[in-house]
Amino acid sequence: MRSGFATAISTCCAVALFAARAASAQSSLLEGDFALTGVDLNIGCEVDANGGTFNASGYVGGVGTAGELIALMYDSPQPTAVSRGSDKITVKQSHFAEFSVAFQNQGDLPLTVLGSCSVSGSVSLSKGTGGVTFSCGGDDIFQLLDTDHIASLQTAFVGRKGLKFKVNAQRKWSLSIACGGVLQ
Amino acid sequence: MPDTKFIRIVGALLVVGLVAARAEAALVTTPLIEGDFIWEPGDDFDHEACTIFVDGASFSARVAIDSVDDSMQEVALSFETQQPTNITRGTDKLAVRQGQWVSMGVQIGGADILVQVPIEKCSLSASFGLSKSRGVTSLSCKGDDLSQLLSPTNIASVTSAMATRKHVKFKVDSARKKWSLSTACAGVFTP
Repeated sequence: MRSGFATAISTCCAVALFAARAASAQSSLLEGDFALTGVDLNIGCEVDANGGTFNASGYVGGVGTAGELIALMYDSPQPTAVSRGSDKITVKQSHFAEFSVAFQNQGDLPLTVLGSCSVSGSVSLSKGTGGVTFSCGGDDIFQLLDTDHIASLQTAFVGRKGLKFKVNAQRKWSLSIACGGVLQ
Repeated sequence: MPDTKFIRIVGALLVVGLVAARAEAALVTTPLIEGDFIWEPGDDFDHEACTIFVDGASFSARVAIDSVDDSMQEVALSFETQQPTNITRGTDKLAVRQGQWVSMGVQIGGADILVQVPIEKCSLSASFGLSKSRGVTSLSCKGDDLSQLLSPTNIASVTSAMATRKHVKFKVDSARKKWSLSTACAGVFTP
Protein backbone atom coordinates (compact mmCIF):
# COMPACT_ATOMS: atom_id res chain seq x y z
CA MET A 1 0.00 0.00 0.00
CA ARG A 2 2.71 2.39 1.04
CA SER A 3 4.79 1.35 -1.95
CA GLY A 4 1.85 2.09 -4.28
CA PHE A 5 1.35 5.48 -2.64
CA ALA A 6 5.03 6.28 -2.99
CA THR A 7 4.99 5.27 -6.64
CA ALA A 8 1.92 7.42 -7.28
CA ILE A 9 3.50 10.42 -5.55
CA SER A 10 6.76 9.86 -7.36
CA THR A 11 5.01 9.60 -10.75
CA CYS A 12 2.95 12.68 -9.99
CA CYS A 13 6.05 14.67 -9.03
CA ALA A 14 7.94 13.46 -12.07
CA VAL A 15 5.11 14.48 -14.38
CA ALA A 16 4.85 17.89 -12.70
CA LEU A 17 8.62 18.33 -12.87
CA PHE A 18 8.86 17.50 -16.56
CA ALA A 19 5.79 19.61 -17.33
CA ALA A 20 7.38 22.56 -15.55
CA ARG A 21 10.66 22.07 -17.37
CA ALA A 22 8.88 21.68 -20.68
CA ALA A 23 6.89 24.86 -20.09
CA SER A 24 10.10 26.82 -19.50
CA ALA A 25 11.25 26.32 -23.12
CA GLN A 26 10.18 29.43 -24.97
CA SER A 27 10.67 30.14 -28.63
CA SER A 28 12.32 33.47 -29.40
CA LEU A 29 10.75 33.71 -32.87
CA LEU A 30 8.67 36.80 -33.56
CA GLU A 31 4.93 36.46 -33.00
CA GLY A 32 2.00 38.84 -33.21
CA ASP A 33 0.06 41.44 -35.17
CA PHE A 34 2.20 44.46 -35.99
CA ALA A 35 0.22 47.55 -36.99
CA LEU A 36 2.09 50.40 -38.66
CA THR A 37 1.15 54.04 -38.79
CA GLY A 38 2.71 56.97 -40.57
CA VAL A 39 1.95 60.69 -40.71
CA ASP A 40 -1.26 60.18 -42.69
CA LEU A 41 -3.72 58.44 -40.38
CA ASN A 42 -5.91 57.44 -43.33
CA ILE A 43 -3.20 55.11 -44.59
CA GLY A 44 -2.65 52.07 -42.39
CA CYS A 45 -1.12 48.63 -42.71
CA GLU A 46 -0.25 45.54 -40.74
CA VAL A 47 2.04 42.51 -40.83
CA ASP A 48 0.88 39.45 -38.88
CA ALA A 49 2.62 36.23 -37.86
CA ASN A 50 0.58 34.01 -35.57
CA GLY A 51 2.06 30.54 -35.31
CA GLY A 52 1.91 29.24 -38.88
CA THR A 53 -0.49 31.91 -40.17
CA PHE A 54 0.78 35.01 -41.95
CA ASN A 55 -0.69 38.14 -43.52
CA ALA A 56 0.34 41.51 -44.90
CA SER A 57 -2.54 43.96 -45.33
CA GLY A 58 -3.50 47.59 -45.45
CA TYR A 59 -6.07 50.23 -46.27
CA VAL A 60 -6.32 53.78 -47.56
CA GLY A 61 -9.19 56.18 -46.96
CA GLY A 62 -9.92 59.13 -49.22
CA VAL A 63 -12.56 61.67 -50.26
CA GLY A 64 -13.91 61.26 -53.77
CA THR A 65 -16.43 63.12 -55.93
CA ALA A 66 -18.92 65.29 -54.02
CA GLY A 67 -17.30 64.43 -50.71
CA GLU A 68 -17.86 60.69 -51.10
CA LEU A 69 -15.75 58.62 -48.74
CA ILE A 70 -13.79 55.76 -50.31
CA ALA A 71 -11.73 52.99 -48.75
CA LEU A 72 -9.24 50.76 -50.59
CA MET A 73 -8.24 47.51 -48.89
CA TYR A 74 -5.69 44.84 -49.73
CA ASP A 75 -4.29 41.73 -48.13
CA SER A 76 -2.45 38.43 -48.72
CA PRO A 77 -4.87 35.50 -48.34
CA GLN A 78 -2.32 33.09 -49.89
CA PRO A 79 1.23 34.25 -49.12
CA THR A 80 3.85 33.01 -51.58
CA ALA A 81 6.97 33.79 -49.51
CA VAL A 82 7.54 34.25 -45.81
CA SER A 83 10.64 34.81 -43.75
CA ARG A 84 10.64 35.04 -39.97
CA GLY A 85 13.32 35.42 -37.33
CA SER A 86 13.50 36.68 -33.79
CA ASP A 87 13.59 40.31 -34.97
CA LYS A 88 12.17 40.46 -38.49
CA ILE A 89 9.22 39.17 -40.45
CA THR A 90 8.55 39.53 -44.16
CA VAL A 91 5.35 38.35 -45.82
CA LYS A 92 4.88 38.50 -49.56
CA GLN A 93 2.21 37.44 -52.02
CA SER A 94 3.60 37.99 -55.49
CA HIS A 95 0.35 37.46 -57.36
CA PHE A 96 -3.35 36.99 -56.66
CA ALA A 97 -3.30 39.40 -53.73
CA GLU A 98 -6.76 40.58 -52.74
CA PHE A 99 -7.98 44.07 -53.44
CA SER A 100 -11.36 45.64 -52.75
CA VAL A 101 -12.98 49.05 -52.77
CA ALA A 102 -15.80 50.42 -50.61
CA PHE A 103 -17.72 53.53 -51.74
CA GLN A 104 -19.82 55.45 -49.24
CA ASN A 105 -22.63 56.34 -51.64
CA GLN A 106 -22.52 53.53 -54.15
CA GLY A 107 -22.18 50.47 -51.97
CA ASP A 108 -19.37 47.98 -51.79
CA LEU A 109 -17.86 46.58 -54.91
CA PRO A 110 -17.21 42.86 -55.07
CA LEU A 111 -13.81 41.70 -54.00
CA THR A 112 -11.32 41.59 -56.83
CA VAL A 113 -8.54 39.03 -56.97
CA LEU A 114 -6.22 39.82 -59.83
CA GLY A 115 -3.28 37.81 -61.06
CA SER A 116 -1.14 40.91 -61.25
CA CYS A 117 -1.82 42.13 -57.70
CA SER A 118 1.06 41.80 -55.25
CA VAL A 119 1.60 42.76 -51.65
CA SER A 120 4.79 42.73 -49.61
CA GLY A 121 5.22 43.64 -45.97
CA SER A 122 7.99 43.60 -43.40
CA VAL A 123 8.62 44.66 -39.82
CA SER A 124 11.71 44.97 -37.68
CA LEU A 125 11.19 44.83 -33.95
CA SER A 126 14.59 46.28 -33.07
CA LYS A 127 14.10 49.26 -35.37
CA GLY A 128 10.45 49.63 -34.42
CA THR A 129 9.54 50.22 -38.05
CA GLY A 130 8.06 48.46 -41.04
CA GLY A 131 6.05 48.87 -44.20
CA VAL A 132 3.70 47.26 -46.66
CA THR A 133 3.57 47.91 -50.39
CA PHE A 134 0.80 46.94 -52.75
CA SER A 135 0.68 47.12 -56.52
CA CYS A 136 -1.88 46.10 -59.05
CA GLY A 137 -2.81 46.79 -62.62
CA GLY A 138 -4.82 45.62 -65.57
CA ASP A 139 -5.68 46.07 -69.21
CA ASP A 140 -9.22 47.40 -68.87
CA ILE A 141 -10.40 49.28 -65.82
CA PHE A 142 -13.98 49.30 -67.16
CA GLN A 143 -14.15 45.60 -66.41
CA LEU A 144 -13.97 46.56 -62.75
CA LEU A 145 -15.41 50.05 -62.35
CA ASP A 146 -17.83 52.38 -64.09
CA THR A 147 -17.11 55.99 -65.06
CA ASP A 148 -18.47 57.44 -61.79
CA HIS A 149 -16.32 55.13 -59.69
CA ILE A 150 -13.20 55.95 -61.68
CA ALA A 151 -13.81 59.69 -61.41
CA SER A 152 -14.38 59.39 -57.68
CA LEU A 153 -11.20 57.33 -57.22
CA GLN A 154 -9.15 59.84 -59.20
CA THR A 155 -10.49 62.70 -57.10
CA ALA A 156 -9.68 60.83 -53.91
CA PHE A 157 -6.27 59.45 -54.71
CA VAL A 158 -4.48 61.17 -57.61
CA GLY A 159 -1.60 63.17 -56.19
CA ARG A 160 -1.92 61.56 -52.77
CA LYS A 161 1.41 60.87 -51.07
CA GLY A 162 2.26 57.17 -50.98
CA LEU A 163 -0.36 56.30 -53.59
CA LYS A 164 -0.29 56.24 -57.38
CA PHE A 165 -3.42 55.61 -59.39
CA LYS A 166 -3.23 55.93 -63.15
CA VAL A 167 -5.63 55.24 -66.00
CA ASN A 168 -4.51 55.84 -69.58
CA ALA A 169 -6.49 56.51 -72.74
CA GLN A 170 -6.41 52.80 -73.62
CA ARG A 171 -8.14 51.99 -70.31
CA LYS A 172 -4.99 50.43 -68.84
CA TRP A 173 -4.69 51.13 -65.17
CA SER A 174 -2.23 50.78 -62.33
CA LEU A 175 -2.41 51.31 -58.61
CA SER A 176 0.40 51.29 -56.09
CA ILE A 177 0.22 51.99 -52.40
CA ALA A 178 3.14 52.40 -50.01
CA CYS A 179 2.51 52.36 -46.32
CA GLY A 180 5.33 52.70 -43.86
CA GLY A 181 5.86 53.90 -40.39
CA VAL A 182 6.48 52.99 -36.81
CA LEU A 183 5.08 50.04 -34.93
CA GLN A 184 2.07 50.95 -32.87
CA MET B 1 -4.76 67.40 -37.60
CA PRO B 2 -7.00 64.73 -39.14
CA ASP B 3 -10.75 65.17 -39.10
CA THR B 4 -11.99 62.67 -36.51
CA LYS B 5 -15.41 62.41 -38.19
CA PHE B 6 -13.70 61.51 -41.46
CA ILE B 7 -11.62 58.80 -39.80
CA ARG B 8 -14.68 57.39 -38.08
CA ILE B 9 -16.66 57.20 -41.33
CA VAL B 10 -13.77 55.68 -43.25
CA GLY B 11 -13.40 53.18 -40.42
CA ALA B 12 -17.06 52.20 -40.77
CA LEU B 13 -16.63 51.88 -44.52
CA LEU B 14 -13.61 49.67 -43.99
CA VAL B 15 -15.51 47.35 -41.69
CA VAL B 16 -18.40 47.03 -44.16
CA GLY B 17 -15.99 46.59 -47.04
CA LEU B 18 -13.86 43.98 -45.29
CA VAL B 19 -16.89 41.93 -44.27
CA ALA B 20 -18.09 41.99 -47.85
CA ALA B 21 -14.59 41.12 -49.03
CA ARG B 22 -14.33 38.13 -46.69
CA ALA B 23 -17.72 36.85 -47.84
CA GLU B 24 -16.64 37.09 -51.46
CA ALA B 25 -13.21 35.61 -50.79
CA ALA B 26 -14.65 32.17 -50.19
CA LEU B 27 -15.92 32.13 -53.77
CA VAL B 28 -12.61 33.03 -55.39
CA THR B 29 -10.09 30.41 -56.40
CA THR B 30 -6.53 30.89 -57.59
CA PRO B 31 -4.04 28.37 -59.02
CA LEU B 32 -1.76 28.65 -55.97
CA ILE B 33 -1.20 25.30 -54.25
CA GLU B 34 -3.58 24.44 -51.39
CA GLY B 35 -4.06 21.26 -49.38
CA ASP B 36 -2.82 18.68 -46.95
CA PHE B 37 -0.22 16.27 -48.36
CA ILE B 38 1.16 13.19 -46.63
CA TRP B 39 3.86 10.73 -47.68
CA GLU B 40 5.77 7.81 -46.19
CA PRO B 41 9.16 6.30 -47.00
CA GLY B 42 8.43 3.35 -49.28
CA ASP B 43 10.72 1.02 -47.34
CA ASP B 44 9.41 1.93 -43.90
CA PHE B 45 5.78 2.88 -44.29
CA ASP B 46 3.49 2.54 -41.27
CA HIS B 47 6.39 3.74 -39.13
CA GLU B 48 7.16 7.18 -40.46
CA ALA B 49 4.80 9.74 -42.00
CA CYS B 50 5.58 13.23 -43.21
CA THR B 51 3.00 15.93 -43.81
CA ILE B 52 2.97 19.38 -45.34
CA PHE B 53 -0.09 21.57 -45.07
CA VAL B 54 -1.27 24.85 -46.52
CA ASP B 55 -4.71 26.37 -46.12
CA GLY B 56 -4.86 29.97 -47.33
CA ALA B 57 -2.41 31.83 -45.12
CA SER B 58 -1.70 28.94 -42.71
CA PHE B 59 1.28 26.61 -43.12
CA SER B 60 2.78 23.66 -41.27
CA ALA B 61 4.99 20.60 -41.71
CA ARG B 62 5.10 17.52 -39.51
CA VAL B 63 7.06 14.30 -39.01
CA ALA B 64 5.60 11.36 -37.07
CA ILE B 65 7.68 8.30 -36.13
CA ASP B 66 6.14 5.19 -34.58
CA SER B 67 7.99 2.23 -33.12
CA VAL B 68 8.07 -0.14 -30.13
CA ASP B 69 10.61 -0.38 -27.34
CA ASP B 70 12.24 -3.47 -25.80
CA SER B 71 9.15 -4.22 -23.75
CA MET B 72 6.88 -3.84 -26.80
CA GLN B 73 5.44 -0.54 -25.62
CA GLU B 74 4.43 1.80 -28.42
CA VAL B 75 6.71 4.82 -28.74
CA ALA B 76 5.56 7.72 -30.90
CA LEU B 77 7.62 10.82 -31.63
CA SER B 78 6.22 13.80 -33.49
CA PHE B 79 7.78 17.04 -34.68
CA GLU B 80 5.88 20.10 -35.90
CA THR B 81 6.66 23.53 -37.33
CA GLN B 82 4.47 25.62 -35.07
CA GLN B 83 6.33 28.78 -36.12
CA PRO B 84 7.66 28.36 -39.67
CA THR B 85 10.64 30.59 -40.47
CA ASN B 86 10.69 30.23 -44.27
CA ILE B 87 7.92 29.50 -46.73
CA THR B 88 7.71 29.46 -50.49
CA ARG B 89 4.60 28.61 -52.43
CA GLY B 90 3.74 28.55 -56.08
CA THR B 91 1.20 26.82 -58.26
CA ASP B 92 3.10 23.51 -58.15
CA LYS B 93 5.53 23.63 -55.25
CA LEU B 94 5.29 24.26 -51.56
CA ALA B 95 8.15 24.44 -49.08
CA VAL B 96 7.89 24.95 -45.33
CA ARG B 97 10.93 25.27 -43.10
CA GLN B 98 11.50 26.07 -39.48
CA GLY B 99 15.16 26.66 -38.72
CA GLN B 100 14.89 26.44 -34.94
CA TRP B 101 12.39 25.86 -32.14
CA VAL B 102 10.59 22.98 -33.84
CA SER B 103 8.17 21.38 -31.37
CA MET B 104 8.61 17.81 -30.21
CA GLY B 105 6.01 15.45 -28.79
CA VAL B 106 6.63 12.06 -27.16
CA GLN B 107 4.07 9.37 -26.40
CA ILE B 108 5.01 6.11 -24.67
CA GLY B 109 2.49 3.35 -24.15
CA GLY B 110 -0.25 5.76 -25.24
CA ALA B 111 0.59 8.30 -22.54
CA ASP B 112 1.70 11.85 -23.36
CA ILE B 113 5.22 12.34 -22.02
CA LEU B 114 5.96 15.56 -23.92
CA VAL B 115 3.28 17.61 -25.65
CA GLN B 116 4.84 19.66 -28.44
CA VAL B 117 7.68 21.28 -26.52
CA PRO B 118 9.74 23.75 -28.58
CA ILE B 119 13.36 22.60 -28.97
CA GLU B 120 15.79 25.41 -29.74
CA LYS B 121 18.26 23.45 -31.86
CA CYS B 122 15.69 21.62 -33.90
CA SER B 123 15.00 22.26 -37.58
CA LEU B 124 12.53 20.76 -40.01
CA SER B 125 12.37 21.30 -43.79
CA ALA B 126 9.64 19.92 -46.01
CA SER B 127 8.85 20.43 -49.67
CA PHE B 128 6.26 19.01 -52.00
CA GLY B 129 5.69 19.12 -55.75
CA LEU B 130 2.15 18.67 -57.00
CA SER B 131 3.08 17.67 -60.56
CA LYS B 132 5.36 14.85 -59.36
CA SER B 133 3.19 14.21 -56.31
CA ARG B 134 6.38 13.76 -54.34
CA GLY B 135 7.55 15.14 -51.04
CA VAL B 136 10.83 15.33 -49.13
CA THR B 137 11.37 16.10 -45.47
CA SER B 138 14.45 16.36 -43.31
CA LEU B 139 14.61 16.79 -39.57
CA SER B 140 17.58 17.48 -37.34
CA CYS B 141 17.43 18.08 -33.59
CA LYS B 142 19.92 18.15 -30.78
CA GLY B 143 20.19 19.31 -27.22
CA ASP B 144 22.53 19.50 -24.28
CA ASP B 145 20.40 17.85 -21.64
CA LEU B 146 17.75 15.28 -22.53
CA SER B 147 17.19 14.59 -18.83
CA GLN B 148 15.48 18.00 -18.70
CA LEU B 149 12.80 16.59 -20.98
CA LEU B 150 12.57 12.86 -20.31
CA SER B 151 13.07 10.54 -17.35
CA PRO B 152 15.83 7.85 -17.52
CA THR B 153 13.17 5.19 -18.13
CA ASN B 154 11.65 7.17 -20.99
CA ILE B 155 15.07 7.85 -22.52
CA ALA B 156 15.78 4.10 -22.47
CA SER B 157 12.42 3.44 -24.07
CA VAL B 158 12.97 6.00 -26.87
CA THR B 159 16.52 4.75 -27.44
CA SER B 160 15.49 1.13 -27.92
CA ALA B 161 12.48 2.07 -30.04
CA MET B 162 14.40 4.35 -32.41
CA ALA B 163 17.22 1.80 -32.83
CA THR B 164 14.87 -0.29 -34.97
CA ARG B 165 13.89 2.52 -37.31
CA LYS B 166 15.78 2.47 -40.57
CA HIS B 167 15.67 6.20 -41.31
CA VAL B 168 16.10 7.53 -37.79
CA LYS B 169 19.40 8.29 -36.10
CA PHE B 170 18.98 8.85 -32.39
CA LYS B 171 21.93 9.24 -30.08
CA VAL B 172 22.24 10.07 -26.42
CA ASP B 173 25.44 10.08 -24.39
CA SER B 174 26.09 7.83 -21.42
CA ALA B 175 25.12 10.58 -18.98
CA ARG B 176 21.73 10.81 -20.76
CA LYS B 177 22.33 14.48 -21.44
CA LYS B 178 23.66 15.32 -24.90
CA TRP B 179 21.38 13.97 -27.59
CA SER B 180 20.63 14.20 -31.28
CA LEU B 181 17.96 12.90 -33.60
CA SER B 182 17.78 13.12 -37.36
CA THR B 183 15.65 11.59 -40.05
CA ALA B 184 14.79 12.00 -43.70
CA CYS B 185 11.55 11.07 -45.31
CA ALA B 186 10.92 11.00 -49.06
CA GLY B 187 7.94 9.51 -50.75
CA VAL B 188 4.90 9.82 -52.95
CA PHE B 189 1.74 11.55 -51.78
CA THR B 190 -0.85 9.03 -50.67
CA PRO B 191 -4.34 10.65 -50.69
